[in-house]
Parts: sequence; C-alpha cells; structure tokens
Amino acid sequence: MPSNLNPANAITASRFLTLPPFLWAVDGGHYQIAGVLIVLCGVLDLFDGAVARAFDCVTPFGEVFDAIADGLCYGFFLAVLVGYRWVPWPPVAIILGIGFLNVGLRWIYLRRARRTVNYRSYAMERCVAYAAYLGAFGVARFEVDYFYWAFAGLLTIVVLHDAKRMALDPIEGPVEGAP
Amino acid sequence: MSQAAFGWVVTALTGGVAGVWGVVDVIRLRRALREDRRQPVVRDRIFGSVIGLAISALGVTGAILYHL
Repeated sequence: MPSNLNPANAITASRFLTLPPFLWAVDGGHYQIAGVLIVLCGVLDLFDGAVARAFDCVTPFGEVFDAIADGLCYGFFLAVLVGYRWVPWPPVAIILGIGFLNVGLRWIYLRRARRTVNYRSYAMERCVAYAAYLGAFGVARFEVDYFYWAFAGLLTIVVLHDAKRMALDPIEGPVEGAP
Repeated sequence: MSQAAFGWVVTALTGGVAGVWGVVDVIRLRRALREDRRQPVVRDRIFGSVIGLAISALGVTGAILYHL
C-alpha cells in the first residue's frame, strides 16, 4: 500500500491555498481574480487523480481526501459569495444542507464497510464538476439564479438516489471483519 | 479584461464544455445500456449519464439565456 504522504495528496492539499486569496479577491471586488482562483482549484482537482495514477500512489485515503477537499473548497466559495451577497442565499442553503446530508451518508457507508473507502457515485461526479462552475457563475454574475436553483434541484435528486445505495444496499467489495 | 469579454470567456467555457460533455455522456449512456442492467454499478452509470446529459442541457441553455 503506497504512503498517504504522496504527490497526489500534496496536490489535493494545495487546493486549500486558493481559499484565502479567493476571500481577499471577493472582498476587494476583484471578480476576475476570484474566477481564476476557482478555475485553478478545479484544474488542481483534475490533476491529483492523474498524478496518483502516474506515480502509482492511488490510496483509499486519497480518494476520501479528494472528496473532502471538493466539499470544503466549493462549500467555502459558495459561503463567501453568499456572505458578500454576490449570489442568492436560499439555493446555496439548500446546496450546503444537501452537501452535509451527503457527508453523513458517506460516513454511514464507511461505518458499514468498516474500512476507508469512498462511495463512487457517477452522478455525484458530474455534480462536483457543476459545483466547480457554480463559483465561476457567481463571480461572473452569469445567469446566477437559473444555474443555482437548477443545481439545487439536481443535487437533491442525486443525493436521494445515492442515499439508498449508501445506507441500505449491500456494500461492494470486502467488508472488514465480516465472516 | 472588460466585463463583456469576461462574459464571453465564461460563455465559451460553459457552452463549449457542456456541449462536449453532452456528446461524451451520450456515448457513455449508449455503452452502459448495452451492458447487464441488473448490475447496480451499470444502473449507477446509466443514472450518472442521464444526470450528465441534464447538466449539459442546462449549461448550453444557460449560456444562450445569458446573451438573450
């Protein structure tokens, strides 16, 4: 098993470095810099998986860490944009609420599997890519209401769909300690 | 960069990516539909592609709405 201290996880962790300058950019009204920082965070998200495969350092922790980084970074972007009233709060409240519900369901899945494992949801992977765009739509004032409310609806459908698989359906792969 | 130019950059990134995304998910959906749908993973892939197609349509529509 490769170490968790590897280049891919370093790239994942480096995504957090975009958060303080993002706050500074929004606070100063530098919307284009804020947009570039969101894009940078998204590009780093694309690279960590590729680096993990290239350096043969794919680990279960890395997959979970990547999902946590997605939630923290995109959640932070949305929270800051709501705080500065660049985007409406009701759809963001729904998105963050559903996001926390999803974290809880993933925790239940981890407990059921009794090992570090990331629940793979093909639909949620698409939603995460959409979430990366949400921040950019907010800083560019790009059809904000349309894209935010549409995302809130889609995310609700996806999490309801995944909830059954994570909380009730049999776990794929071995369950640690199971006979 | 002016606000208008920035708007066009976001339009290109949104509409362009959404268009390509739609094509990729049509291919993935067709491939998944040929597999055994009793497998939970195959059903997940089909659902994922349907959500992907919905996102693609939203992206293209939103990019058009912005310029109307």
